[in-house]
Amino acid sequence: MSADDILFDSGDHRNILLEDFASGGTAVQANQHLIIHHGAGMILDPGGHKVYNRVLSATMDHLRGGNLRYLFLSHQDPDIVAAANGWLMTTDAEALASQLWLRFIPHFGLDTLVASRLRGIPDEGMITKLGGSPIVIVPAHFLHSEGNFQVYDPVSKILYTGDLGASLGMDYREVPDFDSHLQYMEGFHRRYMTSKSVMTAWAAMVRSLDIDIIAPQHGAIFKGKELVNRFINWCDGFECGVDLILPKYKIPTS
Amino acid sequence: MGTRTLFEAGTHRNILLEDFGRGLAVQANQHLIIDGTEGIILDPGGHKVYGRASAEAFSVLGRSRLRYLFLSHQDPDIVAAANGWLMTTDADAYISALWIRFIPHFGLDELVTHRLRPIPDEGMFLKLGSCELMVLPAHFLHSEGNFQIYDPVAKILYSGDLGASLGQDYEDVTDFDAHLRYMDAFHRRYMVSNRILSAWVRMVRPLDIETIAPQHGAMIRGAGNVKRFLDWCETLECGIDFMADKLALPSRTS
Repeated sequence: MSADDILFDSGDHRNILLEDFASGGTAVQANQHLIIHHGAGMILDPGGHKVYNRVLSATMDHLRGGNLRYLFLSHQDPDIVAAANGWLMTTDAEALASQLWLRFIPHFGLDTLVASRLRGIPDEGMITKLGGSPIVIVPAHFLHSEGNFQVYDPVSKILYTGDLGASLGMDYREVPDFDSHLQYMEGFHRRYMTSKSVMTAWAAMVRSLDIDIIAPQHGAIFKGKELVNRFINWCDGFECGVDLILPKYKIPTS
Repeated sequence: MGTRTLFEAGTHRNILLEDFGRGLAVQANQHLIIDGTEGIILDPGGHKVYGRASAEAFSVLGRSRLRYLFLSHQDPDIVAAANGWLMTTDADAYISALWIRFIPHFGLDELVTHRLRPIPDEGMFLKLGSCELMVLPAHFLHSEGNFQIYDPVAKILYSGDLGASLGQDYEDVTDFDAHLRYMDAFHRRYMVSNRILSAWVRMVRPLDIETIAPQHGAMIRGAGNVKRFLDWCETLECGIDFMADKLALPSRTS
């Protein structure tokens, strides 16, 4: 029996959170999300070498003979891009990543054969089509990476937020209670997210979207409008990163 | 041969390895510091250069042993080949505590994971032979968890991505004004904010620096050029100074 979570299913359109294949080791837990529309698939942040085989096989099962059209890489971190070459070599998919990282990703050893299928996303983001259905690539720079994007799927009303909203250390996959969940995400956001100004700009931008689920790349998802709004409100005005780091800018003493 | 000696006094040597990177991946410098019987390699790069960079490094090291691998931050051009270096030497790899759980996504062998060591946010000293290298905090320049190395013997500040330049065909900056065109755009987009840059300048001004050696592009040598670079950083607006109020949903379909 599969431990995949179906987040949305209307027959033609499905959003699947794949089973967690890698919990328990030294690598940080990561979620792999799949969006399928009319047999065309998009895998979001498919993860590193250790989960590659199992994520690929689960993806092909869910596609049921359809095609993987896109590999979406939210940013350049190792947990995101380490296995990009494998995905490109075994499928016809195009990899979408911020134009800021196009010349960095080949350092993993992309085969020349597939380098042409690595496509840059402009800073403004873009709207792409998956099996005819629009997928909005939303700019979320400096949250945390300098070149960072999120994905909004207007059919399922899911906003895939990458590292924003990430949580570590709890044993549930859906946030049951916002206040008691804060302990699993606050420390990460204070240190890795860049600034209050960017968090506030992000909150203002996404308030205009109709969102039922916020699905981060690590940890639990926020399901339902109430939790979604609590999360956006929490981000709005959140101090972090450069707001707090300046005291560390000193010559070390030990 | 493929190396350049930047400094040599007694048993202390600072060596720039030849640039092995070509093609799609961004050009990267590999630096080696040796003091007595111990060596450290800085940001040793990805899969494509691993074979040649390690052969050259071992030839330069001679009878000295590689004691440390220094990883300034988590980007692919820095960490992709960390496993290879750890498997073929008994060096310890030092990287920001922020990235310790991200690096294993490359597939670090169990054998070597315990040799991946965290640098605290405050920075630290690394003892190398009979000298001590200073590991300076440089967070958000550009990475959230980012460090630089100052070698007080050679008076070289290894600045990682800060000071990086792309596209010129020289190794040493001779005319600072003419050099700006190769660094300006990169710094404005990837570096996080002027507050951070000016805090960094305040921290490093008291250091006696003869050379600033970035990870990409040309070195900034001589007190005059070093001062010009620090002055430039001090007033540069970048990153969230431009971006924070510009996050907007995309309208362009592609």
